[in-house]
Amino acid sequence: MNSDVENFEQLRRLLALKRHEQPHPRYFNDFSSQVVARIKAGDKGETADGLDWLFGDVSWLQRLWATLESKPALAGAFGAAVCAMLVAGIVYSANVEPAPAHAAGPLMASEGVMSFVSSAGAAGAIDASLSFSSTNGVSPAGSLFDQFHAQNPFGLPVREVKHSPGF
Amino acid sequence: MIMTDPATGKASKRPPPKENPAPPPAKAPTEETVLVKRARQGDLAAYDELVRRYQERIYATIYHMTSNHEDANDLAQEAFIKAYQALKTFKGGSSFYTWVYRIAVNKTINFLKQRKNRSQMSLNDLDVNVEHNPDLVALISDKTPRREAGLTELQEKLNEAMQKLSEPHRLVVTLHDIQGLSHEEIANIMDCNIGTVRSRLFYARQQLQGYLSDYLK
Repeated sequence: MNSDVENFEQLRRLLALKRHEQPHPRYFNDFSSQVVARIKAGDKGETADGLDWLFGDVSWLQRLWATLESKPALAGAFGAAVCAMLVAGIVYSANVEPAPAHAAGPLMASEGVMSFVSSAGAAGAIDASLSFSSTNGVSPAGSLFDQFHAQNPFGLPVREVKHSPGF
Repeated sequence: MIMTDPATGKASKRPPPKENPAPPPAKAPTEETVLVKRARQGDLAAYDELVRRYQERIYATIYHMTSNHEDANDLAQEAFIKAYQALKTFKGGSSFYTWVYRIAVNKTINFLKQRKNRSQMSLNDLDVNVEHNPDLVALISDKTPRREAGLTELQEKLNEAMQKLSEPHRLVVTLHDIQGLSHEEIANIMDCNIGTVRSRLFYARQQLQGYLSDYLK
């Protein structure tokens, strides 16, 4: 027990060295004024606009960083999640086929338009598709009489009637 | 040894450190009460005076706990700012000194828990009076296995050994053996009983003794 006490006495003397570890001689001259300045700045910050508070406050980021820093497992999981999201994004984007350049409008996907494209010439189809719009549902494939001529099985004479708006 | 002032580059002598650090100032407790009352009403000049009274002790405690000057600076300032913000909750059950100390200690322990994976020391220089300390001179000149060790090396080893202790044990050693607080005061600050303080102190000293055996006879 005596040796313990003696050793503790030696230790106590050694620990006295730490009392000699001192900051810069004038370090404490400005310390209290810095504290008061920060208190004043904090008071001003509290009365600042909401947007200033929202964009100026980065403490949540610091807290997140501190949490990740103190918990390596959490930091690893966070990193893995970010990597997984990145890989998933790359895989997804690679699987999606690029849309053809001329199929700009959603109407091209409908059955009617597709049959029209197949019956008309390729150049005409492209021209027609380009002239389509969401407010123009009628295809500009000639007049209705042309279709009737094509479907007239008896060869009866057909006369076109001109319609004048004034009558 | 004369230390140079980094700001001016001139040699400067520091005031001698307190060999037996004074216990919490007992001078004019009523004056302190008045200052606290004024500070509570938003008088920053009064709070500035309170900070000046305790800044060195609070800084030193945090510094000995962290072994890092920059961390000690930030934490000491934050502790005083937090104390000002919480001043309305200060009931006066303990002295302002003990209350601020408690805030600083809790803040430091929380910080150390977060910092566990990076402990980089940033030690203050030893003051000029260290060479006149007979205990330390004897410690180095005695025939120890590492008597050639210089004071700076000794300082680093001592801080490394301190950092190996758990936070509660380091705190007890800091407050008692370095800052000279009584068991009762430490018990008030740490919010535990005196027996716990004593047992932690004994265990911490044993640990330190093991870590620093090369430097002890």
